[in-house]
Amino acid sequence: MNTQLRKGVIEMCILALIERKDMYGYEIVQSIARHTDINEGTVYPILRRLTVDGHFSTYLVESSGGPARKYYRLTAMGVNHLAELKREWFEMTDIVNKILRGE
Amino acid sequence: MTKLEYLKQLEDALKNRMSRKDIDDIIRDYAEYFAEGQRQGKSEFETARGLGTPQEVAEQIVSEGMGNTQSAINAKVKNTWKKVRTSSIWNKVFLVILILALSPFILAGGGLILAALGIVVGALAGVVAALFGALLASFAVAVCGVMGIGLMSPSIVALSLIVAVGMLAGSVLGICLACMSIRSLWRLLKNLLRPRPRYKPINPHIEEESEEE
Repeated sequence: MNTQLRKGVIEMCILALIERKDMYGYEIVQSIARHTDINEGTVYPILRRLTVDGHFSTYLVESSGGPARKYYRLTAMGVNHLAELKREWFEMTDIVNKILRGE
Repeated sequence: MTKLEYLKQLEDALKNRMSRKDIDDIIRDYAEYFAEGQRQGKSEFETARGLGTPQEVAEQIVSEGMGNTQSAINAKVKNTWKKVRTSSIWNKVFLVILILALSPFILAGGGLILAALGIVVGALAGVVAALFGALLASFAVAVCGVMGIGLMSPSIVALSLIVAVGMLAGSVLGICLACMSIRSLWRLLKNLLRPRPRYKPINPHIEEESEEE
């Protein structure tokens, strides 16, 4: 699959997962890796960039037996961005499916 | 490799490419990732292998920060616009030089246009004057005839009335012709002076990484 498209889809999936519940880095990577063959190393940079762009806010939660966990949560801007991405995705797949099924 | 080796190499790969604060943030994130892996029973070597080499990861982080963010795309588009604006400045410079070179011809042509305009305006003025004169003359004659001052015989009165009407008709015709020619001249000038819209293709070129499959 085209790299650019793939990146966009992964970004949307990350946003969607975190919309459901706040998660920390490792949790996010495992959730995605469970369903796709994405390279783990690519997730953190995307998380970071989405945070810098203002789609996430982060907070630290102390945990026993290890360093504090950085939790990611969607900002209002992130919620809007995700809604936009979802709309575009459903529109596009609708059209593509129609074409592939020969309608 | 071990966690400490990994983090050290990652830091080296990022040094001088972003702020100290950003690098510290990133190292903290990956240290958390290793620690979490260990908590889940994964060895440091497994975690390191899953992430890819520190250098690859560093490239990813840097390219995310540059290539694909909306602000980076906006910057690219802004740069494209800058190029367009600069080239249009050069176009203007070229146009100025061209005008200077052709100025004798332009002046001559402009002079002709002005002369034509002058003729039209003069004709119009003359026509208006004739019209007024004719109206006044016919009015005076009519008054004399009505008042029966007997200055002139009825046939002369009739003749002057006919002449007056004829001059009136001629003046009206002249005014119409003058107006038509002025209007077409105006349209011609407007077409020459109207700024033409310039269409330049904008291509924010987004680099595509080569497929690794």
